[in-house]
Amino acid sequence: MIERLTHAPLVVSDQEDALKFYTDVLGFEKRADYQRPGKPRWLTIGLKGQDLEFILVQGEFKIESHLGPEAGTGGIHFAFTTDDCQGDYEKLKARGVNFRVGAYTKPVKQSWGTSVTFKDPDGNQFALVQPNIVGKVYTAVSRLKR
Amino acid sequence: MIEKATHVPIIVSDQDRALQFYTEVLGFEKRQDYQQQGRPRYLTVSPKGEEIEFIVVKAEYVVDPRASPLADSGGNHWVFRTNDCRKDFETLRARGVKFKDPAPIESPYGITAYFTDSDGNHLSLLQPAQKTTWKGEA
Repeated sequence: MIERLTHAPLVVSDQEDALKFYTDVLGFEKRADYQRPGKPRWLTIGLKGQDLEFILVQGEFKIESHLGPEAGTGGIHFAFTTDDCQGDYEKLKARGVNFRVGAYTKPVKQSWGTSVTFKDPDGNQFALVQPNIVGKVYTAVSRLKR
Repeated sequence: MIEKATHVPIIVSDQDRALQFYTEVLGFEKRQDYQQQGRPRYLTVSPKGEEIEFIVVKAEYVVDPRASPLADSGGNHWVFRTNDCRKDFETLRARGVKFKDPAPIESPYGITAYFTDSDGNHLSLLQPAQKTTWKGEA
């Protein structure tokens, strides 16, 4: 039985630059860094305390109508939770992270919490979500319903 | 502090066909499916018990980073842990999944099988080795 997702790919144009961005700027841990002869470099990162690893895959991509988180639900993005959206925004902005995604440039209050969107240097799009009590209750209830 | 990933996007050309593949073939649950006016349809799926949800996004690659379905993914793939790779291999093959190899592969890190979804996204099953000091490719 399929139990868990353990690895998800992130396509980047330069593995070394991406590694620097994800570890030094965003604060991910490097998990695996290995190269077998004739194979691409296997480079993964993850968040402290979470098993999931992102595979930093060297490659090029372009997507038709690259809908970002500004499209609301349905845009192409990775989402993370945070315990301090405003604090992370200020810290990451000071480190040069690009928070200009569509019309948005800074954290936005929603009924379910606060969120902010940003891009990595390759255009991969992310939402950083700090759920409030409404968001937390909603998540807990949907989990119970399953 | 960034705590954990909750959603990851997977790009498909047809959301209904992908939904069918992920739920009926792979056995995932549908988690969210709604559409706000003027917005794309928000569709998420996930294995039972997994917190992280896949956002199944309808879009087309202009520059496609994926290897062709029968080629090595070059690392551009999703890995799922299973408790029985050989059994899943048989179950999924019976449901029409095309695996790259005729049988699961034994590797230092476990038993693994590579396949693609209904859109050519590369996926793999991994039943991790019980004891390993392997720190390389999964």
